Amino acid sequence: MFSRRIKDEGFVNIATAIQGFKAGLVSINVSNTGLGKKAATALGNALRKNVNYTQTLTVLDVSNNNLGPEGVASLADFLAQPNNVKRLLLGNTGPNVEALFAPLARGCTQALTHLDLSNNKFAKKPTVSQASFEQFFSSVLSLKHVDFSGSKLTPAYLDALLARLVGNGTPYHACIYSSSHVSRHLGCRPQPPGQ
Amino acid sequence: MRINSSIEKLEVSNVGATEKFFLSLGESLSKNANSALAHLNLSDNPYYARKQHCK
Repeated sequence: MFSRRIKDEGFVNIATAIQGFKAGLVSINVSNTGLGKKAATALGNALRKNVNYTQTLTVLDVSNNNLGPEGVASLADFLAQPNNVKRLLLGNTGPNVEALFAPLARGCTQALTHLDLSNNKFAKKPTVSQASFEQFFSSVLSLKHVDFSGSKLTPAYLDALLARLVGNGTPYHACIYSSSHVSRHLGCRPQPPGQ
Repeated sequence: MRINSSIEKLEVSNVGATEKFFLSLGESLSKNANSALAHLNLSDNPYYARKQHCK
């Protein structure tokens, strides 16, 4: 179909501009822009190098882009710093998303209210990331909405998530619909949203 | 292109923006480092749309 990817240079230019904003932006939405690993890395570097972004940025939407491990790692470097991001949308950004939980547990426990990790694949076998996953969900203070819909959430991750959702006492809107692992694990048929 | 420095929200969503447009936008934004811009939305401009736009 469309086999040739457009290069990331255009967005790298924009990332450079984002870094240069003296006051820092409040929201950045680059969902579904064909962002590749080079552009995602540039964005992560831009946010990390301008220290104001840890205070100003409240919405970051990079969903529906194939960020690659390098891009995820670069964004993770920013997210690992204590920050003020309230809405973080990382749905459908490719594999290796579980690597984010350690940085999230360090930098996103105070302000984050909305986390979208839908349509991502998790490693089938438990990894060290699972400990970070548990640590994150036990330490987030403001999280109200988590979305894992369409994710290949393994039973180990699901157990940890449900334990934290129940044990934390914070009212959540947890969306885990359409994960085949979930329905099998819970022995039920998931209902479509709104029913 | 020139961006007014008093603009607080810039939304260029789902317009089939090309690579060339993004390059130009990046250069313009770089010249507005002290502007009032707080919200940047470039969503829904996937690469295939850019390619179609170039035809």
